[in-house]
Amino acid sequence: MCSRFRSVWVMVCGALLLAAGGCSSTVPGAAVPPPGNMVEGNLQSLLQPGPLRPVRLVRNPLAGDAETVEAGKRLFNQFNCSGCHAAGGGAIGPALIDDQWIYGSSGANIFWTLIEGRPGGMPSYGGKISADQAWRLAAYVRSIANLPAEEEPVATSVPASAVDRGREVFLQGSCVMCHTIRGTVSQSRVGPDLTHVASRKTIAAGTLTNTRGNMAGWILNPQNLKIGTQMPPTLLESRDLQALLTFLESLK
Amino acid sequence: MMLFGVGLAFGGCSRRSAEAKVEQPQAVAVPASAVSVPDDGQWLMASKDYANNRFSGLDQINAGNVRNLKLEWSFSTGVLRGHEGAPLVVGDTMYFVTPYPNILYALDLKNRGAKKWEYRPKPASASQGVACCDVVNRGAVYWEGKIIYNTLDAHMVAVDAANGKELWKTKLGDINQGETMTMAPIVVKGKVLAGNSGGEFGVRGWIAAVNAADGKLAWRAYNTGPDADVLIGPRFKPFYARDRGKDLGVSSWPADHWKIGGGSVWGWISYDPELNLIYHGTGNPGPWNPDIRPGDNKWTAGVFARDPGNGEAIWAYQWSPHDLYDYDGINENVLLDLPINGKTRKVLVRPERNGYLYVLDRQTGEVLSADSYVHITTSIGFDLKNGLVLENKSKTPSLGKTMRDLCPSAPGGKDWNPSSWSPRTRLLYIPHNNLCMDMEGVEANYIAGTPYVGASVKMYPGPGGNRGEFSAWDPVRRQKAWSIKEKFPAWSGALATAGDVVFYGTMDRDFKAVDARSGELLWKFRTGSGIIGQPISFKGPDGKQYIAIADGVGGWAGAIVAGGLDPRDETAALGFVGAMKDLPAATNQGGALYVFSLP
Repeated sequence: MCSRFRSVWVMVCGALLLAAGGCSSTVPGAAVPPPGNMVEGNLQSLLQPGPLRPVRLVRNPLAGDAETVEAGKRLFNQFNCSGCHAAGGGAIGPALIDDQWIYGSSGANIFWTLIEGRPGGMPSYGGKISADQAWRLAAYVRSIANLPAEEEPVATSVPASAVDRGREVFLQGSCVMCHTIRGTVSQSRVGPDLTHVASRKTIAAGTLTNTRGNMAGWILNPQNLKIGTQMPPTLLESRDLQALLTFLESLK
Repeated sequence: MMLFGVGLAFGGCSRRSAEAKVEQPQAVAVPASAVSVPDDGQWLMASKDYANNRFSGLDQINAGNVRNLKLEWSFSTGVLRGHEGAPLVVGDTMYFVTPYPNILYALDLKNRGAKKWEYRPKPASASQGVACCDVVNRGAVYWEGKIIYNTLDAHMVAVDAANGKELWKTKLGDINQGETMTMAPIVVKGKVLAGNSGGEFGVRGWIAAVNAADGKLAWRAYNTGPDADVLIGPRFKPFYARDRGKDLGVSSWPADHWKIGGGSVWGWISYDPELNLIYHGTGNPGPWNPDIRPGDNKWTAGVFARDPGNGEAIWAYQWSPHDLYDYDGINENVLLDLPINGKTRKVLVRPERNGYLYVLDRQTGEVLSADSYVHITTSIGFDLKNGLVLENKSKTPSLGKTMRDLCPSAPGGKDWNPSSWSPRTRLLYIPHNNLCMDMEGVEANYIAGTPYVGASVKMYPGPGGNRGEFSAWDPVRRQKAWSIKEKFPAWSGALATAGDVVFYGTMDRDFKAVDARSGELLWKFRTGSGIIGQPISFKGPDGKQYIAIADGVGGWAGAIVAGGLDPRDETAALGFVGAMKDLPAATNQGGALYVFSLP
């Protein structure tokens, strides 16, 4: 299945299979990926309505490192994955060393299976483990299944869809509870208006220079940067965080 | 010799005319001689009777004619996981509960098993992720027009036996804490009794009583923790001094560990109406790794006698204090009256996981005898004076150390699969294991709703190479009368009948009838999948005797097939896969009921 695709760019249908960030079509102000665009995401199916579309496989950002696999092995025991999957032969949960994958064997498939859980009894570890831990676990699981570490590196240029994806992250996450971005559904006045946030020199009430790094730290753990701030921490998978930052940088 | 409680006297099954409404008979337990009480031909609880004897008084099928037994009809349950359940027969209807998703079927015995209705409780799919040993269900109970059973997601449900309508549904446990329910309940004086599963998830074990009339919780007794929770009060009189003292369910654990210490109730409950006591086992302590929980870990891996009215504990006994090997204590407690040293004693006979067959005084909890019925290396004998297994200190597993040649293995000399007693041959028929294991203690992190085991196990066949055995045990002479070696663990229940024929099934797809006195194989039938179910016998609307069994391999022993596990990992399925690598060559998944009779 997906794991068999060694190259980053593969022709898989699924222009309508939406990005891992969620289904955008029901959210006002968020773009539906236009036909013809490449689709990124946690593909579960090769069955395609309509013509084939190129798909960008989400790659494991920590793949290809022996330490990642070793760390994943420790996590596999520490989070009791071994309790259900044994040493890969399975028990309560399915075997991981065979060649049957109900929800796909790509790094992203495994990542999302860990985060989302699966209906047959796989618990959702979302909120219990960090994105990095999930990627390490994904790398370990692929290693015991004798699957190659991961796809080749993706191009470093920002994909055209990154701003759209970042918008989805913003609009579907908790940001909308407090902030306004004019022209979108985000209209709350609890926190600052972010319509032109990219034009500002500083953030956090003037305490931080408005750089991508500071913004990332501010989003993830504001209390670290400004004790007593009303801004709550937001746990984001690294890919979503990067997309969100790119989106915020576009708000000039 | 009088035998207590073998037969239940029922109100009688009405079949006066075809159009007459079937009176749903009432189970009334009457202590009586098994031989003198006629069997009414029904099967109203998984164990047939309160005494857990599983003896059918029907004798049309006997050792002389059983070779003519023919398949009358079969029924696919549409479910492919391990079928450990017993069918029920009430009047003209057979009821059967499948493994998850726990569908209840009502089948018409007047029309060769035609489906009358089905009821789907729709248990939470996620519950499959916290069921340690396949998503099994061991059966239902009939009571006052209701079929009552437990669902995998820890609910108890009552269904109208006439039409399949849900009457009440009560949540008893929380899957997010690792609790499931798999056992067959019994009903005593209008209270449905059942407990939780989840000893591999750090649950806190309990038994609950639910009012059959309305589904309201009547009482709940925990098996760990303070006396107030265990329902230990002034009436609690354990036989052995080590079991006396305040809050032993707290002090026999490291601080607060009793809250996640196991002691679940997922096996069998017996009832003695004369003493008005129920008997239930308690499961293994958690995690398996014993280093993490120094102390006797009360009241895990033991047995309680309780007052069914309020749950009050009357006595308790631990088969395996500070259990080292997952010697879960939940097997059937077979209630018999036996001559012991020239005196008739009310006893409880228990083929236990630790490899000993116990005879206890069921009034006091005193061990009268304990004899090995399988190959044992984990202990060196039994101290009858103190009622304690003499542990083999050289076989104590610990963190980071692999201990080898541990016999019996984690599923024990015998697991949940219930034995059957014949008052005619005075033998207990025991389906059991011949398995050993290597075990290594590993780290265990408690994360609610995930496995809490802390052991890496690999099982393999015991001496002789046969992984199973079917034994006839004489509890008075304290020895085996005969036994049959089986290739795979004997993981089905047993059924003894007044025709002196004993039935059981094998994981390699044979349903067998053997001579109750000699063990001679008299008949066998090849089923579609391996058998881990509980055989029953009943009288059909036509007055004929029938035998019924479900196939559908699975359970812990059959997880390699039911769950499609990978044999290259011997530690898979908590180490059972190591001993079952050739099971996929012997059977596929399946799930069907088979009903047999003489032509």
